[in-house]
Amino acid sequence: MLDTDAAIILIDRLLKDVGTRQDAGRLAFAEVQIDSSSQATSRFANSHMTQNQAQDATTVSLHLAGRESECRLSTQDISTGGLARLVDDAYAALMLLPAAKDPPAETAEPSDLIDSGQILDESRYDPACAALDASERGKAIKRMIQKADGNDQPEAIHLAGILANGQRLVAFGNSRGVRRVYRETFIESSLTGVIRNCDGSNATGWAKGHQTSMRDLDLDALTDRALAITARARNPREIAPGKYRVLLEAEAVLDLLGFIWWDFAATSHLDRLSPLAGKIGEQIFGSNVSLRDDVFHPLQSGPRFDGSGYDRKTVDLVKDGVLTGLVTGSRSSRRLSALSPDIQLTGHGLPEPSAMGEIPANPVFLPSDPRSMTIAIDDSVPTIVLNRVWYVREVDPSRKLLTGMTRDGIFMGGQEPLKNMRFNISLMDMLQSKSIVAMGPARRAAGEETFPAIVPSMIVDDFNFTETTKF
Amino acid sequence: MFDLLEIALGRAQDLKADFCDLRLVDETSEMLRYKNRSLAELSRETSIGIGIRVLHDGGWGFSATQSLAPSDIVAAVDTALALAKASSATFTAARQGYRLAPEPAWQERWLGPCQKDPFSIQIEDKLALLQVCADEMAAVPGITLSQGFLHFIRTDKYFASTEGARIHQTMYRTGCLIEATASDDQDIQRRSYPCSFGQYESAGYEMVEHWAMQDHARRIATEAVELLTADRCPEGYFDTILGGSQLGLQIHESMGHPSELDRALGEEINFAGASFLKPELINNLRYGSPLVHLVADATAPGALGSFGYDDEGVQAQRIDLVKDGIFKGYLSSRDTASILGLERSGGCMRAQNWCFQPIIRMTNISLEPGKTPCSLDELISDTGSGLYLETNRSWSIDSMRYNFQFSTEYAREIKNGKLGRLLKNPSYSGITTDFWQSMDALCDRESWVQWGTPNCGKGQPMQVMWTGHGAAPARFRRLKIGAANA
Repeated sequence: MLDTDAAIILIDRLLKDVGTRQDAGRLAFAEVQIDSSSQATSRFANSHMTQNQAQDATTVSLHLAGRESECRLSTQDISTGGLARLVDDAYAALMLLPAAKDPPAETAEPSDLIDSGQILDESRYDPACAALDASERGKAIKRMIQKADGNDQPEAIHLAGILANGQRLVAFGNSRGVRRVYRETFIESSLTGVIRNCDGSNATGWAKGHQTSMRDLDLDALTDRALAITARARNPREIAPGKYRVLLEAEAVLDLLGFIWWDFAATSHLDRLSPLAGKIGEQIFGSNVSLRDDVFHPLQSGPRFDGSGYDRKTVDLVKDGVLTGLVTGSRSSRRLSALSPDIQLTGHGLPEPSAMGEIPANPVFLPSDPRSMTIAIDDSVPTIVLNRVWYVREVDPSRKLLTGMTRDGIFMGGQEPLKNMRFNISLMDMLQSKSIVAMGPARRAAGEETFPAIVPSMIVDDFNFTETTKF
Repeated sequence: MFDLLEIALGRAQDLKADFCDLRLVDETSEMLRYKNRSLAELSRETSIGIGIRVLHDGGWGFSATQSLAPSDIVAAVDTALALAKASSATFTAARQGYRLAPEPAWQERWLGPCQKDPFSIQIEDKLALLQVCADEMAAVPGITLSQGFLHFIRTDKYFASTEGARIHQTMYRTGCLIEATASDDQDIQRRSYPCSFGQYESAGYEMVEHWAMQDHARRIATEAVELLTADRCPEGYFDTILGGSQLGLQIHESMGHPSELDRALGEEINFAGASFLKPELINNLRYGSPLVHLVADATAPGALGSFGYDDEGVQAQRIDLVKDGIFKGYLSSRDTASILGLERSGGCMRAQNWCFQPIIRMTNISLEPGKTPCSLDELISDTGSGLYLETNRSWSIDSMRYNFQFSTEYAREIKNGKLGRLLKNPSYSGITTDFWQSMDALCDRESWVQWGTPNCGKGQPMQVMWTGHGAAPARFRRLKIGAANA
């Protein structure tokens, strides 16, 4: 994996090579992005390590923007010869391209940036996290297994899962003189407990955590949570499908809301792929729903610059249920500003050229009046607690109708285990005031359908279970 | 390249590893993506590196490096061995009866099919094709977004093991797609061709020419607009014919995944889930009607999931998963095969690229076509009254692979044995075994297509794999339609 100095040297060298080529005069600008990572995953099940792996990879991509066309080429051959070939091939590709109807968007200038003097951001780098090795991961996993073995349930709980850690570096440079480097670490663990039911089948429970620092991931607490849910999940009964009040744990909320993040990207509106298109200033959700994209939130991760080198701004997307803003990249802000001079460049662009345009990569759901979910459960109304959701897919984009399954912990009243069910719900309906009963404090959640984000647990009405399954 | 692998093998042997195998993968890809009559993306990527597996004292370790410097290769072997030792130290009891099912140490050169090298086709020709398609779609009033892509990948893979295997494989993969979207204030509808998310094959540019996207662009755009005002698909139980590409995805989700032996053994429980297909059900479970014959065939010419040898050096094979409706077997690896007492691995270990550890993946999981001559028109005529559903829109299945729900882009009513009115937002659901037991007719080989899915996700960290699914349209009695609207 590259360190910061090596990344900057490589960017400088590559841009210098680009600038000395015969066709350099045809360029509007050039950009280099480096993604370098080193990560390791220890994976276990059935009381053995099924996989124990470590990978180290660096990808260098070069974006050449002419006045009317552009291309991006990437390589993992970062030798002198490899990078020279990258430049050769990029120029060759660019010269073949016809003029595009949508010319290349702009790249950042140093004067565009708030902290133009700061090159390196390591605010989310934890040396202890980077240093966690296979032996230490193995010991941690042993402790988890011992906790499972030591549980006092009538049936044994077998634990499966992963413990992974690593670091990554994202570096950006352009021919205008911008240089940005971001480095972070991560630690992640997800655990599934398996317990035998009386009928010989299995019940399961699950818990997951993902943080940038080891200090913030309590593996003991995570293990305890997975084991407690597993123990409670034993001997589930089937109930009739229908509309129920549901307490969605934060991981379940995350994996549902992941299907609406891109609806706050300007490109989804320009392409008319979002039901929110044309609704800025309108009440789209309940007044108790506010959403922001905020890379500076202490629980977030990811670089504070976008794929064109611009600063990521904090953007209020939804305020008290009103659609107030969209995230933009260089291209979409240019397209939108032709329609509305108020449109700002927010610094959320994906590396150009990109058909997707941009994405709010750091969403924060701001619950109004966050409450304890335990206290918020009204015992007079049957409430199903969902630990997580699974295989969620969008059925109808015009209503944000999603289908998915429950999994690894579904309980009536939080205690009585139930068999899993399929749901079909509209996010547009779920986020209305009449549907939201209560919300808990927002926290960093990690699921399986989208990247980690800051979301609350929620109690919602009329959550539509349409079918049951056999376990 | 084998000399680089010899360095690694030598190091593994010096360190007394019980077993070591390596893959050096050299890959080049090109993507051309069009959006609204303009080139939205031209990207090319090159990637090269070595993935190293070591088995020591019952523990596996894997490491990967993109540096081909001998010192870095040696360091990667050291890392893999350290990981293997950590594995066996964490769990002191080695898996009982553990061994690698035997496989000859092949020394082979394998070339995948490719008549026209896609990297030698002029870029102007590729762009011209996408431009024609884009212009055709945009010419239909009501289209709000038109998209298309061409995607080409060339892979050279060198495999070696301490057992003496030396295998060099070269394969091409090509994908193409056009997609038309129509939207108004109330609705968003999409039509895709050749299938949603792109059709992929182990082939060269000849597959793009075969699919002739330019001949279908205006049709799919017209259909997308028509869907905006089409009647909603009714709910209830209907005799339903599923189109081939939709059936391919059904096969993927409801047979491909549950037949992965690592899932059945509980090794994927933390992410992808488990399987209702327990080992004791082999030859004992009626999975489908007697017409259902599902195979895993890594030898199918030109299919996306085909190869010469898997990423453990096991020769490609054809295996029955379900025959005459009875569950017959799994997708396996050398170590899981030995657990089940199989003589040989089914050759299903595959990795996304050099950077990932191989895991059990689908190859080409296909429904054998009907033996009785039957075209789609004849099947529709025979159906009398029902529905025809085509081209996937959404897919979801539970973590044991029982309950599923799918939706398609397009449906037509079948009335009096003929296709009738257009219907929108069709969805269907069921339980896997009930579904396959309801299959009572399918088209013959003339209608059978080897569909390709480029984006099957599995593993931690997540890997993406390309899989093939041969299918012809088939009929299912009393399929539950409209669960999404409940």
